[in-house]
Amino acid sequence: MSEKIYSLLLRLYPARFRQQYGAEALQLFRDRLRDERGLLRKLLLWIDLLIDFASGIPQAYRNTYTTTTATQAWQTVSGLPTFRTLEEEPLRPGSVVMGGLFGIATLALFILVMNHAAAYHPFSGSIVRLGAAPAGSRSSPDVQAVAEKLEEQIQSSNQLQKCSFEKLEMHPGNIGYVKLTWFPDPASCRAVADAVMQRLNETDAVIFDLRDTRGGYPEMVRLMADWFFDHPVAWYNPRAASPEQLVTDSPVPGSRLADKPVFVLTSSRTFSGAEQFAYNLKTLKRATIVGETTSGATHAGTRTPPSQIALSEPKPIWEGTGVQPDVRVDADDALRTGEDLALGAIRKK
Amino acid sequence: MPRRKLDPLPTAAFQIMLSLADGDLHGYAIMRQVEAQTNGRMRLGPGTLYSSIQAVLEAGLIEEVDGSSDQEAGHERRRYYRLTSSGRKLARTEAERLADLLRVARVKKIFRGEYV
Repeated sequence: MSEKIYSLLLRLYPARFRQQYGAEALQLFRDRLRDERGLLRKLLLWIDLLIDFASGIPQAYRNTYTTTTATQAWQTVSGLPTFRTLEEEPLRPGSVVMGGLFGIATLALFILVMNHAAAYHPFSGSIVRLGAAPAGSRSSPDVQAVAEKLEEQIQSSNQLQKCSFEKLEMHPGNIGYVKLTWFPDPASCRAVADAVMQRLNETDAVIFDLRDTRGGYPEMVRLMADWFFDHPVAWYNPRAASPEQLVTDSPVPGSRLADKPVFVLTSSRTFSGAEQFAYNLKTLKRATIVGETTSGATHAGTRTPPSQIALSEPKPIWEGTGVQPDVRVDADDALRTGEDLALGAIRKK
Repeated sequence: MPRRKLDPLPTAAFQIMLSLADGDLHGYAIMRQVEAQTNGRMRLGPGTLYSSIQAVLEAGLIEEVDGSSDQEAGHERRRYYRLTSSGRKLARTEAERLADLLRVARVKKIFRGEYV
């Protein structure tokens, strides 16, 4: 029994050592076991062995085992040339440990590099810092310069345009202004939409210009609305494919928009998904609708197969009637009116 | 060369070399011999023993000899070790170094042993 334990403990030694001395070490252990009888002496023997393990293993790993293995190889072949392949060598625990450490180090380096890369990516973490630059004079000039450069990058990269964000501007009084022509596919534009919302985080009021918005993906409509609530709220969606789509996913981590005034500009051209956005924010009393009654479009363009929209009503509530504005002005005047209202709302706060 | 590893010479290595001064011994006998020559203060476990043996072997201070003389009934072949001439030289150097140290200790009245 104790011999078994000892041979297991011997496995802690490098393979070369075991190959060379394993049998003899075991023999020595047997000899001592034979010679040292009595409980106390046995106990002392084990204490000896444990101390021996602590001091012997590091030394065993330091040895190179070169000369002796060479002679041994020579002896085994007795004059015949052989090839000792590495494949036959058992993997030394030292190599495994070194490999592991090297792997971890490589991974850490990779993560570090990726984190740094993210800082220069125009549409991820940098947007948070970027937003701060035009919003206030708090940030230092060089940070601002970097932010401006990044902003240029955004503009030049056309990412916003690709995702149907026609304009993302700061209007006087720290009003964030977004004009979009389409609520884009979240699959490809989620990051951009999040970046836009992050940017709006830095403002005191938000104007959504939906006067020329033809519609879009209901998921994106809701994803953007998620930012405006600090708790989940019921979300009207005539095309909902699942119950999850009938409630907002709020609060959005990092959102500071939940208590900021929102104004939605509408026109008679405002269509479908844009009407859904306006309708919901109006009904939830989260936004003031400024402009004209919307087109009252059907969801003729649905891509969802009928079997999947069983949960929903066949027609949106606004079909035929459109969404009525809270403040009725001509579409062309809607922006100016919206800005005035936003400034008033900011002052009131 | 691995010689560096033995500079300064570890106690265990020195004791092993001393134990082989009188003649060839196998591992277990070395261990017993070391135990005897240190009045039981140093008992080399298998790990320390064979690691030290390997280290001094690599440094060429001892060498392996065929243990055919020990082929008694039922005994498996044991490896015997012999002190090489360079090992003997190094052991002497080490002993002289220790003697010098002892002389100093005696002059400083730290050590009062009359013999040695």
